Amino acid sequence: MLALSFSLCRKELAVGQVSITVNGAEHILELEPRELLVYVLRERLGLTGTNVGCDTSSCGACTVLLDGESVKSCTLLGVQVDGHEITTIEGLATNGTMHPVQEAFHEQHGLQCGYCTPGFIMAAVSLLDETPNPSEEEIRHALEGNLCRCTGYQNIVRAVQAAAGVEV
Amino acid sequence: MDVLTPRSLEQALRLKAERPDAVPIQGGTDVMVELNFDRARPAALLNLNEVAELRGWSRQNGRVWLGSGLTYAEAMERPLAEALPALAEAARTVGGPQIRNRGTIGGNLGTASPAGDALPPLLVCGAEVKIASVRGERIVPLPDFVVGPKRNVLAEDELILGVSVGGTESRQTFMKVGPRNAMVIAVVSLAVRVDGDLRAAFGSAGPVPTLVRAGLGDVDSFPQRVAEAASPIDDVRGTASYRRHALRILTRRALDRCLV
Amino acid sequence: MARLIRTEKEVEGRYEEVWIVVDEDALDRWPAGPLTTVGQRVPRVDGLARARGQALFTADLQLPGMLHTAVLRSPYARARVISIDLEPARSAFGVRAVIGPADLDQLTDEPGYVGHAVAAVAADTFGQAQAAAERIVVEWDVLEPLLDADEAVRQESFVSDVANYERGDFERGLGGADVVVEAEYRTQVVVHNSLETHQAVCHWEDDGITIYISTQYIWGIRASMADHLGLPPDKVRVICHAMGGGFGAKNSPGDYTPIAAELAKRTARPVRCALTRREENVAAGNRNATIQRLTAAATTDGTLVALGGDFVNAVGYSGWSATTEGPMKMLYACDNVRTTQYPAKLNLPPMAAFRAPGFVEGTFGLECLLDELAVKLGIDPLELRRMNYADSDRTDDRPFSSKNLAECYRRAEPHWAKRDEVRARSRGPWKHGIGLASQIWYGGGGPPSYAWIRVGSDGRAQVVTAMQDIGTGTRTAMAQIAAEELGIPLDHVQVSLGDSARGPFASISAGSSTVPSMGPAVRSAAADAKRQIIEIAAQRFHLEERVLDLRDGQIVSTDGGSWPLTEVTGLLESGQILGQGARGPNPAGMQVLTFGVQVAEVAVDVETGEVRVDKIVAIHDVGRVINALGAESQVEGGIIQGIGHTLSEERIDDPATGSILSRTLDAYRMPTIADVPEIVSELVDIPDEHLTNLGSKGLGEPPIIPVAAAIANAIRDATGAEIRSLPITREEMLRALREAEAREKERRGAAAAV
Repeated sequence: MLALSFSLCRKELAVGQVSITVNGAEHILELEPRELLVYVLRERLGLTGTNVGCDTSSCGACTVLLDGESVKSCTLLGVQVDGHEITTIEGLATNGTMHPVQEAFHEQHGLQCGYCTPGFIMAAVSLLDETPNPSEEEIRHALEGNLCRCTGYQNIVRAVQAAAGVEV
Repeated sequence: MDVLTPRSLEQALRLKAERPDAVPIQGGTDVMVELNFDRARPAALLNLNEVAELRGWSRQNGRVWLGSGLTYAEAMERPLAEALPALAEAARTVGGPQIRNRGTIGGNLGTASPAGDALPPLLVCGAEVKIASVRGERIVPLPDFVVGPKRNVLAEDELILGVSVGGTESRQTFMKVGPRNAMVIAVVSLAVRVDGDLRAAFGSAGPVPTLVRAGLGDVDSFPQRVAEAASPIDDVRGTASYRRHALRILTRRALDRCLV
Repeated sequence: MARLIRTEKEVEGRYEEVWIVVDEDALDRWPAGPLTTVGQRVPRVDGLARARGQALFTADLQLPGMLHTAVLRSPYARARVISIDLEPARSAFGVRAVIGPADLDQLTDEPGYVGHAVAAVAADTFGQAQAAAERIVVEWDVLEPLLDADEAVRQESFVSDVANYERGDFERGLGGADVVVEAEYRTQVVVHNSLETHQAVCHWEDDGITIYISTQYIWGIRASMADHLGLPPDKVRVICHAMGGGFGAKNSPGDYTPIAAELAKRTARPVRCALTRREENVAAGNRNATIQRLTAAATTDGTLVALGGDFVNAVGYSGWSATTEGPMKMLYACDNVRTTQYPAKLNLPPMAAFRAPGFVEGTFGLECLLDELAVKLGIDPLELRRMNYADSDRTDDRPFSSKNLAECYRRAEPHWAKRDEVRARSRGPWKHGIGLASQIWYGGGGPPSYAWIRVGSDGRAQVVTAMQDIGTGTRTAMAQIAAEELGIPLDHVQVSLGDSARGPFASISAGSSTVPSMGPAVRSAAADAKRQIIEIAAQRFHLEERVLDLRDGQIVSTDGGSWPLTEVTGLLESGQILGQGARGPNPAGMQVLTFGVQVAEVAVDVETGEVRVDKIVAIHDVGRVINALGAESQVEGGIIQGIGHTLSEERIDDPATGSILSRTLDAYRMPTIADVPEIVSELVDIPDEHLTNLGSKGLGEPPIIPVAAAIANAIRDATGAEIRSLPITREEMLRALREAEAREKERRGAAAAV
């Protein structure tokens, strides 16, 4: 009950509601406390680009940006992001123009089955926001939280380099 | 399950007093896996993400204060990384960047896992844990804080405010053995600091992360002493004998690095 | 013309003799090397959709009213259900149906492995289904499991017949040898762990069922589910738009598809049954463990005079026994070969095909042993392989349709020549070395497979075939082939696949067969459409058909005339040109195989046992390359899976209970982006002149095959240690080093005594 009263102080939401801004649009949602953010995105908001590959926060397929930082949306409860901003793979393109990282993953063949791809792209976007000209080592360190079973990773590194404007 | 989200430390302590069954959660690195596995079904979670007082770090009388909400990503950033290089190195080996953005020092202390990556660097730097409840505050040296595998001295109404550490700018380093180059739970981990004396602390080689100290003159025998101080077990990640062996090699290499 | 032929059909190294109706138009062979579209480096035609997160995986499907399934799986490796009470689950919140062993063949009351499905619950949410499944009360009679493969051989517990093979006279060969090496090799269980877990959504409509499934074989699912459900196959529609990896594990319906179908029938709702990651690590198939006791014998001039081996495949509770002995039988021109393969049936989860099943394991043993032999003979390992080069398939003396392994060896030379340079990099505890291993495997594909193509008045083409793109870039390769034949730009070709109700039969995407099976059918369909376009053009322009061709989106004549394609297709208005094509037969009396060699550079920390792979050079002969960009990605992907198999991946079983201890992606250690060495891939790219209208073989599997042996041989080169067991953990590495040290001491002792 206390928690609710704190919420009420902050915002005019009905009891049990949370406000989450996803890809720039605010959503007022009534969530079960146990609902993981990834399922809020996939099942409540229909944003199925964010994939689920494991339940131990190992694979990174569910990577999204929380207030601009990369996080694994399977280790966050939906209610924990009340009042915060989430960006998913669907939110990267602007007015139909692909994000340079998306373009680069396509052009450099940085994907095979594509299941891990949204997670890798979100992790790469987060890296390039903080480090616009990363070294190869920095790229590998920044993407080490994402697993790919198909590609062998080489073209993923090339894609991030290409997106950063490095000659590949 | 209830999720309680206090927006100040005072609210957090009050909530913890009223709901002692509430499990504190910061980055969720450990808590969420337990939840996803259905190994834990807490009646409530105490979501500390919105408690600003637990964040960040500061210098205090020659020591460094680390808020329990300090993330691994923050521990890797200068100038903190220069003050506590072993902690920064340890932080670099935690999970991936997504986990480092969320996971906190306080979470590592709260879980008190024998494999907690932050614990050996904190041990060699003489960390003291500051604990609070509505009843007041207390300070517990880290070796006394962790009392067994995944067990600490927190009373049910208490929260970890942070840790105070010394040994800044001293020679120190961190090493970790795992089966691959990223996202590993340590087979064995080690922090070494040389600063007036020799200190080593290891993880994953006993029920609790353990600190070993010796005089500067004991450099040659120190690796063996560290290995002997371990009480490792055989598990799916490695054997006890390998863990001892690796501790000896790693300690020697860490000393080489620190004594340059 | 349709022809009926009797032929051998091969999938994953398993042969069966079948009647096949084949139909093929003879087409001119394309010249070798990159063409206008085929052979070029082409980004994937579906790459943007995947980079946008728009690819529709089975996991993404949300049908109205869809229910979710939780499966109760056996916690015991061998047990009998004395009683089972499903009622507590039926009365749980949100539950719509519960089924047990009495309701479905795939649910058992005598589980033979941990993870064997016993009961299943369908509920409104997965959480509700899980909670309900936990309420099922089972009284177990727990029995002693059989977990040791050698013990299974002693007890003659087999999933199929023991396979014996001998050519020449092994014993006599051995008798005439100057040098004999013997060793026992062990390989571990590894798990595919595709990022998308096994799953299906079943939905009954009218009198038929629609199955959305993450699969490598739409038509196989259709056939086996029709058989299982007692339906005519055309009442079963199978759809797979995009799938998140398979690697051999998704060739069949598993237990989850029949479970979803049954629950969907009972509830009259769409039902999803998706394995959790933990189920995936237990019940979705695996590359089984092997024990290989091998002998190689040679004369001092390096001639292999005898090869022999006992191969124990720890198949698990069910499944099939892969040809682990295959490389020993096929790779070298040895006259005397004797192998015995034991398919051990155990109370462990069943195997499933995993990227070159048998040959990955068998190549590790054979190619490591060959290097041990080379050391004893004092012959360069590459030279020893050349000395025993097989010019024909020695198992039945058929010629190869093409074999360019010698060319692969030639191209490997500059890398192999760096041995001294690599060894000289050794510093302190880090010892550097270099090793190589050869690769042999199938990959020729075969009939039947069909494709349709339709060309509209706008001059654009759509390839229609009910195949699946398992992530390898099939859509792109098929579009390239159609564009090449039709002489139109790649972006004028669209490929429609993934739905058994929309398009003709297409082959399985396994056994490196997608391109060699489907590509020729697509080219044939495009050629059929092209022929019709030229017929129309000839009439329109009053020219003979033989002087016309399609090129660069133009209809061209030999006398220099040129008309935009749309000038002819535009005549169609809403009409379409429909082409159809079929995959012709494989060359009669020939063996179609793929070949290659890999050179690995490694560094070993002899104090900690850490092994670091610095570089792998992969040179493979797979006939004509369709998309060099996609092909290189396949090579890199195969190599990194091979590195996982060699160094870090291992399903960990409790040896006492058969319980699986590694069920998460934390405990099961696949390589990360930080574990990848420099990879240099080279494809020989010489079309197989006997194989189909393309001359292309498959590339999915070859790159993983030689990885483990190349790394192990490099470790020997660096340290003298003999690797006998995978994965090469730090402890295994230290064990091998200690053994090598003891051997060296013994040798020195013996030398001193003399």
